[in-house]
Amino acid sequence: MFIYAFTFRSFTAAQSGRNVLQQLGIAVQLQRAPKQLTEQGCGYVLRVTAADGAHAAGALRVYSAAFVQIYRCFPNGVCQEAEL
Amino acid sequence: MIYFDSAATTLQKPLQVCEAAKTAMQTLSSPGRGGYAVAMHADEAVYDCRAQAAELFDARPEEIVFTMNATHALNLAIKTLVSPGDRVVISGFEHNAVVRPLYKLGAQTVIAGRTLFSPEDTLRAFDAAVTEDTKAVVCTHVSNVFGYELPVQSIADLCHARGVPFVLDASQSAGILPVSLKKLHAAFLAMPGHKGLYGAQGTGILVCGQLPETLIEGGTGSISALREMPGFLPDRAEAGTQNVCGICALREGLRFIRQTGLDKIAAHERALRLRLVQKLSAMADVRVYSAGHDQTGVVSFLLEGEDCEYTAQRLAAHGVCVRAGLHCAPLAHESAGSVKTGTVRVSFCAFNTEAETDTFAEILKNP
Repeated sequence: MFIYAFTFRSFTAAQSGRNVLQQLGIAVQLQRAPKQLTEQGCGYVLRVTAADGAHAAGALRVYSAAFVQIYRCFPNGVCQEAEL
Repeated sequence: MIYFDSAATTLQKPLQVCEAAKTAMQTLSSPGRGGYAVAMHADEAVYDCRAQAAELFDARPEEIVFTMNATHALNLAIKTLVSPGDRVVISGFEHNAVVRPLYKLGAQTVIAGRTLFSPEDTLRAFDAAVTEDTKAVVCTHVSNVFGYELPVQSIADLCHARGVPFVLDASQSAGILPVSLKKLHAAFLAMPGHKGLYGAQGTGILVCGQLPETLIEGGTGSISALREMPGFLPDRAEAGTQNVCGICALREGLRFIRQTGLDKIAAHERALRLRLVQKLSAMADVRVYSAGHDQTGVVSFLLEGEDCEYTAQRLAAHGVCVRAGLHCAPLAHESAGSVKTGTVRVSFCAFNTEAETDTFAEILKNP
């Protein structure tokens, strides 16, 4: 099983995105992004379940929340770029 | 003590403002740096303040930049829009926080509207002055010396129609009058956190309708591998560690205003000003700068034959706090004809009372 991670460059943008998802009842965690996911250093992720991924992606786009990339992240720590 | 200098800084704050600063100092570390609990809590607290400000000023949280004060915010705005030699239109009532950066830049500054308490004259002057080669308009919402409420919505509409960026100095209106980034189509709104917003000194807000240039560069806790400052808000304009205690205090000030209501605060301050003006106007040899309209809770006066600083000192001896002199706004005094004498300024806040106003008048009458 995996989770979806949406990466953000700015903490403020990540927080705004988190609020959007919470208002829609989507369970979401905001964390600092793993180093492997931040080419330019220091970013943040919103983590949602696999089941909520597509819904979350749509909601963030509608709100114009500036996420950079979506990843599928597995329990062994591996993350793959994903499209939703 | 009777504190009537809220135009400089509000001294009486809601208790929760002070508590928030103390709690922050004891429990929060640096936002946007670590991923551990007290850092994330700091992130949340700062974001919550942004969200509160965004609600009040009709903006998005990302458009709220925390600054050190209104002067810092105005410098960011002005230095984004104005280059040496550029034509800039300002009102006749601007503070040195506007006049000095423009002077240093070598801008061609055009002053529009110098008649106190005449919105018609002010608007006519801006209409004539804002031409197609105007690079920016910078205008105060309320004069810090006289409390004159300028017709900024009409000025902003004029700027919007002519494609000229509009910067509002909301130093004396934030927390008292409605101020909307969207309705004003503003490039920037600048304000202090420590006056009408009842926050701490060392805080200010720049509400950004566009991306500002940077005044200082440094760490932002975002895209650290890049040498350039981020090209997105608010990070672009927030280099270095923020004043977290101050921002937490400001958050409570914003909450207080939203709970109390702008209309109620404005009505209270205007009523006190009216009461004081009536009492001063009944005294002999007192020049009061008031027309009874287009004025907030700020009023200047002068006792004939007495230096304004002596008047202020005399009042201070009785525990009454007012500011005398030019109020860092010589341009406003030039416009009103008071630059040689200065004035004594009284400025109210939500916590002042009728009894204080009456006591003030009595002290003034009986030297």
